[in-house]
Amino acid sequence: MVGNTLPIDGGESRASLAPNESLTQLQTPLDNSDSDRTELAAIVEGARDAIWSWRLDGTIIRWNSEAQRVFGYTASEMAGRSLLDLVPDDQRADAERIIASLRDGASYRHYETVRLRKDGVRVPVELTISPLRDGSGNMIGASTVCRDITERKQFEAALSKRVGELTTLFDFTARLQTSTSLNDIYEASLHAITRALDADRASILLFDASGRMRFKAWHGLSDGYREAVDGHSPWNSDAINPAPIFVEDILNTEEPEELKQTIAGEGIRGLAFIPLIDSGRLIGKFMTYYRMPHKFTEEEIGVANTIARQLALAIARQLADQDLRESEARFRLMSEHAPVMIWMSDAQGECLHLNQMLRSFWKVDEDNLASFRWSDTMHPEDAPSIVRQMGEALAKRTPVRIKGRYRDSRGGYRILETDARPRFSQLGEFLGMIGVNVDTTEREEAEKARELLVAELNHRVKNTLAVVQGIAHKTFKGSGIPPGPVRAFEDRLVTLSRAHNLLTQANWESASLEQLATLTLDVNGANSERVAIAGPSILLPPKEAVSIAMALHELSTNAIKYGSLSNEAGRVTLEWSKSDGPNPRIELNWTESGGPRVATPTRRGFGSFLLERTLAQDLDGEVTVSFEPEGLTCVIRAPLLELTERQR
Amino acid sequence: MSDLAGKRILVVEDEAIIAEMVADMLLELGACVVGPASSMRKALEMAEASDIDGAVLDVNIRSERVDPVAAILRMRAVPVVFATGNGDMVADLARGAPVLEKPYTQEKLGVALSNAVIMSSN
Repeated sequence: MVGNTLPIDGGESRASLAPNESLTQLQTPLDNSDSDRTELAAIVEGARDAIWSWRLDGTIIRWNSEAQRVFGYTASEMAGRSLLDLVPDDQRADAERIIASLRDGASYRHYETVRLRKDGVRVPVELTISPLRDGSGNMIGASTVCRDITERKQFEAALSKRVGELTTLFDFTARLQTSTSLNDIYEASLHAITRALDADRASILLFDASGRMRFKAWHGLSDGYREAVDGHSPWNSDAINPAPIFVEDILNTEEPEELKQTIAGEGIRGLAFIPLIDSGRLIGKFMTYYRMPHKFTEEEIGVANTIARQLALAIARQLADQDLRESEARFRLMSEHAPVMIWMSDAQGECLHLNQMLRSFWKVDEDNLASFRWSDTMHPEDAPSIVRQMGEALAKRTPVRIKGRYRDSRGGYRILETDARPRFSQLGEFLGMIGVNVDTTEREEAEKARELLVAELNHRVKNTLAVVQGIAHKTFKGSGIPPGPVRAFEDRLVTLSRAHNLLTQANWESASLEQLATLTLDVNGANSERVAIAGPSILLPPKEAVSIAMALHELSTNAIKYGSLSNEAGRVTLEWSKSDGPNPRIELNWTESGGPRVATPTRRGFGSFLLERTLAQDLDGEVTVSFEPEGLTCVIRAPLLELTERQR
Repeated sequence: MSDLAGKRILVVEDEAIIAEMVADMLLELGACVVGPASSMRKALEMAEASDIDGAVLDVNIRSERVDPVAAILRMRAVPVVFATGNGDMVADLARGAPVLEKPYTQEKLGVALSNAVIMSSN
């Protein structure tokens, strides 16, 4: 506080201090004493602040050595000059106002303004101005204590710049969070780059699919300039974590002269290349441009890197979002017009999406999907099974295939076959199911109709066989033919009919050899103790099935009449096998044992004919009957026509 | 076969030649033949009015199922054997009564009829 005011040098009998309460205590020691004055002058002279005093007309009457240091004028240079000589033109009105107000008794403390040095440089200063009065209290002048605040101003400016940068970065981050398009991101970034880095202009470039750097957004670049430098990049797209490049002055670089002139011609001297890196991969860069050569500070480099990180992340995120949206849109488009019913459910099984075909099946609008309950359309008889299966799939998150009837928009029930799979997010979270429904109503009706047709056909065939039996009966009756051959004929008809039965059960596609043998040889009935059969599961095509059934019938009839089934002790075994490979064959072995001794018959009956001729021909194979003394054997070898998958 | 001797058996069969054969089979088994009825109308009349101990019913009479005839006979507690070309489809009609697959032999017919008679007398 010392030096806040000072007495005026030059004859005034008394100097009085300004009516400033903080100085009252100084009044007594300074009171009217020469030695005090000398002491005070020494203090003023040695003060850290520039101090000068002046008369009411503005004439400087005192000028201390700090004032000389700050402003460059010596005390003698300033003596008699107006203090307005220190005031820059643009501050003159303000200075005159201050002087006028001092006359009205005002004083100023820490008033910040600008004053001129001798060499014309403006100096930011802080002034404290107090009036000087004579003994009777009349104002005779004023004292000015002036502090050079250049450093403080610089510090404040730096601080304010830093705060500005941080505010800009903060706003930038907030804007990126809410941006929904690449253009939003570019705009926010260009704004942040030019503000935080104090750049005149800026641009953002990304590599295109062919690895060429392309302008995506810019502020203040001419079309001609962009065309001229299009594709120019200090890095290739496969560069790994490249460092940013700061060019203080393009004219002081080793770049090709043409490029330098192009850049300088655009009015650019300083510029920076900041790489945009996403997960270690270079995706592009942003540029800042300065009219003048620009020395990049540590702070600016830090800010540039921060912006680059944020920008790269935002671009990558946006591109990923875009990809996802595009693939979702593609799925929707495909699904929407697919000729099958497609749906998506949430984790509880409620509909999230139904494609056009399924919406029209149920006649439900996309807008009403939330209130639509598909479970209401299930046929009451099928509902428990559908609900149980779907519930299980949802709980276990497993694929499921469900068949059931659902009411369509016209009120009729249709059979839908549903194939559903669980959906998971990238994080593995269960999202619900996605499924396809196929309307199998017509197919199933057609299948049913075909079954009915086959059954009807079988009925007719067997009725016809019965008619044939009736005709034979009528023909043989009273013809003198003994009942034996008539019985044999009837038995053959019955065998044929049984083979047809088996074929009917399998829709006339195939018959199981084991079932055929069991039925024909009555293995589960009368012959259970005497006939044994063994062999792998083989499905025979219709023609082969009938032929083999007839053959087995003949063999067993013969065995009952003459062979091992004609006494109480004999047995028959029938074994069969199948060879593997591309052209499989079957082999059946009929072996009789324990019967009466066998002699080769002198006459071949219809049975033998049927076996050795008809069967061999029908099967395209060979049939060998051997009349071994210990029992008849028959070996049947034939190619096995593989059934196609559909027929299985 | 003696258990069928003298039994009066109704034959319902729309195919004349089969009907005649069945009749012959029954005669050979010692039974007396009532009918054969070749139409539903006639079959119903005979089922209601005839004095019979058993019946052999073809399941399909001119594309109609023989159910009404079976119902009358069941009410009268007359043992019945069904004959069909379509064994799988008549379980509901037969209700445990013997079913003969066409064509069938005289022996099978005899066994089936005997079983039916035994079943109904139990």
